[in-house]
Amino acid sequence: MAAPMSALSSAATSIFRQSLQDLVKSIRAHRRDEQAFVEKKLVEIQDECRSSEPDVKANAVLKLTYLQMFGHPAAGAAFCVVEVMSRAEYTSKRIGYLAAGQLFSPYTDVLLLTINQFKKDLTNGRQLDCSLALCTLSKIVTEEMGRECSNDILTLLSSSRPVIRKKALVCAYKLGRVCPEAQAVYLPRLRDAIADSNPAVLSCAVSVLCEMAGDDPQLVLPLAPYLYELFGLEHNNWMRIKLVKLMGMLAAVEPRLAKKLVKPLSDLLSSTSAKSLQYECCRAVARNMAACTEVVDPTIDRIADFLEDRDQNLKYLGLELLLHISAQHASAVKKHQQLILDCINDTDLGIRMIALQLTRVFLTPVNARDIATALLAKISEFDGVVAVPGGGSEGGGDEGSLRKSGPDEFGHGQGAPATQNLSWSSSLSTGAEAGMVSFFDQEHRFRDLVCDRLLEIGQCVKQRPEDDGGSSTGSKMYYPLLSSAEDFDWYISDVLKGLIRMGAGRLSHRTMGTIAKQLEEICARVNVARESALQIACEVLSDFVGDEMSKASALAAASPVVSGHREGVDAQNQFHGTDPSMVKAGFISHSEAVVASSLWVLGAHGALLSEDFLYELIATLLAADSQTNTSNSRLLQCGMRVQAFLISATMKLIVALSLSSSSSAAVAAVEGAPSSARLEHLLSLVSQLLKKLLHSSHAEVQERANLCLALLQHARDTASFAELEELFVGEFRPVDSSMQGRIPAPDGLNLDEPLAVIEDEEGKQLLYTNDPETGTQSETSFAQEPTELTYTPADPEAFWGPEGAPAAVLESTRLAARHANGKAPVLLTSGKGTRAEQQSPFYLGSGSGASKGTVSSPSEGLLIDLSGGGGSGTQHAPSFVGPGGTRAAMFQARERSEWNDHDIASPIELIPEEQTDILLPEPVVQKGSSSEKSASVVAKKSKAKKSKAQHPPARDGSLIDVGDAPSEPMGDNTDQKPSQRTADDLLW
Amino acid sequence: MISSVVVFNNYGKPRLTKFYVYASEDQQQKYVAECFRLISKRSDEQCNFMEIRADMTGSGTKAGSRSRRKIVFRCYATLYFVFCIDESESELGILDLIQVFVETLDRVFENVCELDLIFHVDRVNYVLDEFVVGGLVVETNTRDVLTMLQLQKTEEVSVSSSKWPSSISSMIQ
Repeated sequence: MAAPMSALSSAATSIFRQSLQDLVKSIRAHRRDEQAFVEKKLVEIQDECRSSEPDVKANAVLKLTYLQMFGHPAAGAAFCVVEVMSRAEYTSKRIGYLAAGQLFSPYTDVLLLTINQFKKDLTNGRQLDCSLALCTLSKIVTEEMGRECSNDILTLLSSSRPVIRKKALVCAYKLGRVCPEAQAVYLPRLRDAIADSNPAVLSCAVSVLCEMAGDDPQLVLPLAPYLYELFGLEHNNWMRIKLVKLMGMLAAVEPRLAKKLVKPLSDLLSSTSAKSLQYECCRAVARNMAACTEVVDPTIDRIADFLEDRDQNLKYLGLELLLHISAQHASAVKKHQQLILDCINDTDLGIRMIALQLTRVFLTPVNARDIATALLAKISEFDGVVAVPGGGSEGGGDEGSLRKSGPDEFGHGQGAPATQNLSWSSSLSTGAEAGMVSFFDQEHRFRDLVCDRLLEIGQCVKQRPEDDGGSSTGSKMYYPLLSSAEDFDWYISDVLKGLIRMGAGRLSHRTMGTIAKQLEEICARVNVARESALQIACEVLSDFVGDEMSKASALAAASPVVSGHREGVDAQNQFHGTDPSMVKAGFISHSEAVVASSLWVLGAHGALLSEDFLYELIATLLAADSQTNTSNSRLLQCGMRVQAFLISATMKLIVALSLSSSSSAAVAAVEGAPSSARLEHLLSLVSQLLKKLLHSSHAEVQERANLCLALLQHARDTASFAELEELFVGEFRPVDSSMQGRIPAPDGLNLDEPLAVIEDEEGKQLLYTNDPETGTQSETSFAQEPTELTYTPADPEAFWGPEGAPAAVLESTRLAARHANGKAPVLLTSGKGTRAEQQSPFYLGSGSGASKGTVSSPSEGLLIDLSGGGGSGTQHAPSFVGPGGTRAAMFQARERSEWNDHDIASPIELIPEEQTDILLPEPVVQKGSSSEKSASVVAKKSKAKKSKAQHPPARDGSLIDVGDAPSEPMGDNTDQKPSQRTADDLLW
Repeated sequence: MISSVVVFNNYGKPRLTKFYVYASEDQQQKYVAECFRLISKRSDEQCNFMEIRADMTGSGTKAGSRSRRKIVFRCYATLYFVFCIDESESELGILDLIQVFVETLDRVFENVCELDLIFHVDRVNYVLDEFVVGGLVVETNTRDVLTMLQLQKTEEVSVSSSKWPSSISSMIQ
C-alpha cells in the first residue's frame, strides 16, 4: 500500500515541477500526437491550479497562458489567475497579470474580483506593481472596473515617475472609452499632459489625443492651439508623425486650422529627411486638407516622387494617397499618368491593384486608347506568367475550374447543359468570393479587374438629369469615352476583339459575359459600329466553327490521347484527356456567351454583308454541325442561348437571302437559277438543324425549332418568303427596364377580377375543375392565376405610332405551344392546309380561323383569355402570322425582352432622329408579354364568342387537331411530350 | 490604435499573440492563420502592408474609418512580426517600431532567435508591454525600455529565493 502511494506522490511532484520550458520541450517531443498530449497536460495543469502551493499555481498559470496562444481555452483557471495576481512576490504577480491580460475576456465572471487587486497595486506606490496593473487594466478594463479605478488613475496622471504617467495616460483613455463619465474627469488633465517635460509622456499624450480625435475630433479641437505650439519644438520622429496625424484630423473639421497648418507642414516637409514624416505630411494634406488648393499640387508632386522610390512601401502608400485625392484633384493626379501606368507592371499585386483603380481617374476620351493599349499588353503578357503555375494551382480561376468541371460535370453526355453551365459559374463565383483566395486566385482577380477597366471604356451610362435638359421621355444614354465612329471601330476591333482572342479559357465567365453584352449593346445602339461588330461576329463564328471542325477531324483521326500538340487549346485538352465531348464542351462553355451574341449580331444585321459571304458563313455554320451527326452533337451541348440564337439568326438570314436572291434574279419561282439552288441547300441544312434541335433539352429551343419548321414548311408550300419576311422586318432597340412601368393600363382592366366564366359548347362552365372521370386537372387551372395575364394596349396603332413597333408575343405563344400537344391553334393560316399542315400542331384552320377555332378545348379557352382585355388588336387578314402592319417577330420578342436585363434605355445621339422617335415605351415584359400580335394569334374572347354564334362549334374539322389526336380534354395527352410528337409529324 | 501584435514562424506557428481588442480564442487562431496565409507567400520586393478585412482581424468590426484595418509586417529569419493597425497609426512608423522591438529583443536575449521566443514567451510579452500598452505605443526608445526591464530583473532576483523550485528560478534568470 505504501509503495504505490509514494510512487504516486513522486509522480505528482514531478508533474508539479514541470516548468514552462519543460512543457514546451515535452510538447515538441510529441509532435505526432500533439493534440492528445496537450489535452493530457491541460488536465495536469488544472490539477496544479488546485494545488495549495502558490508557486506551483503561478507556474500552472504561466503554462496555461502559453497554451492559450495555440487556442486552448483556459477560462476554467480564471480564479487561479486572480489568486496569482494577488501574490506579493513580483515574479508571481507578474505572471498573474500577464495571464489576466491574455486569458480574461469582458465576459469573465471573476473580473469583479480583480478590482480590489488592481486598486491595491495602483496605489501601493511601487512602480513595478503599478506599471503591471496599468498595463493589464488598459487591456481588459470594463465599465465597472473603470468606475472603481478612475480616481486612482487620475492620481497616477500626476505621478512623479514618467513611466507611470505615460501608462496612466493610456489607461485613462481606455477607461474613458468604456465609461464616459470618467472621460469627462480626465480630459482636462490631457491639457497638462501635452505640456509635460518628458518626451515619452508628451508623445503618449499626443497618441492618446490622436485616438480620441479618431473617435470624435470635436472633443480634441479645443486643444488645437496648444498642439499647434508643439510644432515649433524639437521632437523625435514618432512624436512628429503623431502630431501631424492628429493635426490633420483636426483640420478636417476646422478649415481655419487647415489654413494655419499649411506653413508648418511645408516647413516640415522640406526640412526632414525621414520618409515616414514626409509621407505623413503628404497624407495630412491629401486626406484632410484637400480644400487648401495651394498646397495640394506641390503635395501631389511630392507623392509622385514616392512612386519612383525604390521602396515598395512608399510606392504603395503614395498610390493610396493619390487614389484618395484623385476624386477632388483628378487633373493634378493625371499629370503623373505615366508613373501610375508603370506601377501596373509592378511585381506587387497590391500596388498593381491600386494603380489599376487609379487608371479610372484619368480615363478620358483622349487617352483611352493609350491606357487600353497598356492594359491589353498587361493582360497578354501576364497570361504567360500565370499559365505555367495555373495548371497546378488549387481551384484557381479558369484553368482550375475547367479541370474541375471535366469528367463529372460534362461526363454525362447530353445531360442538361443548362445546369452544367450553372454549376460551372457557381463554382467560379464561390471560389472568388470565399475569403481564402490563393495567390493565383488573386492574379486572376487582377486580370478580371484589368478586363473590367478595359470594358468600362465601352460602357453606356445614363446621362445625368442636368445634362439631359429635363426631357421627360426617359433618360438618354451615352458613351462617355467613345464619341466618334473611329472610336467605336477601335473599341470593337482592338479591345473587344483582343479580349475575345484572349478569351476562351483565360478570362473569367463574367468578363466574357460582359464582352458579349457589349457586343450586342453597341450593335443595337450605335449604327456606325455595326459593321465592325459584324466583322467580329463573323470572325468569332468562323473561328468557332473552324475550331470545332479541326477538333472534330483531329478526333476522328482516332488519336487516343489528345495531348498538347496543338496550340491555343492545349491546356484544356490536357485536362480533358480523351473524351471528345468534353473537349468541345470545355471550349464552348468558355465563349458561349460571345458565340451567342455573335449569332445575334449576325442575325440582326447580317443583311449588311454581301450575299455570297453570308451564304458561305451560314453554310459552314450549319454544315459544321451536320458533320458530327451523332446524338452527341455539339449543338445539343451548347447552352440555350446559343441554340436559340442560332435558330433565329439562321431564320432571319435565310429569309433575307431568299428575298434578295429572288429579287436579284427577278424570278419569283424557285427553280432554275443557281442562287435558288444555293437557297435550297441552305434550307435543307436548316431543316436538318431544326429537326435536331427538336431534341434539344431546352424547352425554349424546342419550341422555336417547332415554330420555325412550321414556318419554313409554309413558305415552301406557298413558294414565297414574302410572308415570312414580315416576321423579321424592323430592328431591335434597347428598352429601358423601367419602361414597363410607363405603359398606362387600359381602361376597364381589372386584374384582380376572376377570369370570365368560359362555357363550352354544352354550356358547362369550364372553370378550374378536377375532372372526376380522368382524375386529371383540366388546364383551365390557369384561369385561377390572374398574374399570368397580360394585356394589349387599347389602340396599338396609336400607341406605337405609324412605324409600328415590334411587339412581344412570346409568352402567349409559348403558352400556346405548351398547350399545343397537337390541339391548340397557334398560327392562323390562309388557304387550305395540306395533310402535313393539318397534322402540324401549329396549323389552324382556314378562312376566318381566327375567330373560328377558338373554343374546342379548355386550353384554347384559356388562350383566349390570356389575350383578352385589349380592344382592337385582332385583324382577320389572312396572313401567316398576324396583321401586316404589326411587324411582330416572335423571336424578336424574346430577344428583346433580354434587353431588359441590360438596363439600357434610348439610343445615343449617333442614331438618327427619326429613329429615336419610335422609342416609345414598349410593352416588354419578361413574364407574360402580349401585344396586338398575340391578339391576332390567339383570338380575342369577344370575337370568339361572336364567332361561336356564326359558326358551328369548334369541332367542325377546321381545326388541325382532328389530324390524329382526338379533340378531347388535354388531360389525355399531357404525358406525351409535345416535341416528340411534333418531331415525327413534321418530317418533311 | 494597434489592435493586435502577433509573431509566428514560417510554418504559421504562433510565437506571440497579443490582442488589444477582445477576440475569442477561435478568432485569434483564425486571424493568425489568415495572416500567415497572406504574408507567407510574399516576396521581398513586395511592400510590407496589406489591407485586411475588418472581420479577419479577430476583433469585432467597428463602424467608421476604424473598420479599415491594415496589417504591417516584417520578416526576420524564420519569424514574422505582424501588427494590425487602424488609420490613426502610421504604417511607416509601425514598421520602424517593429525594428526597434526586435532590436530590443536582441539585446534582451543576446542574438535572439526563434527558440528564445518559444521558451521565454513570457519575457517577450514583458518586453512588448513596455512598448505598447492597451494598443497605444508608449515608448519608442530602446534604452528606456531596457532600463525598465533591468529594473524588473533586479526585482526578480531580489525576490527569488531558495524556496523556488529550481526549474522556475532557472527560468527567471
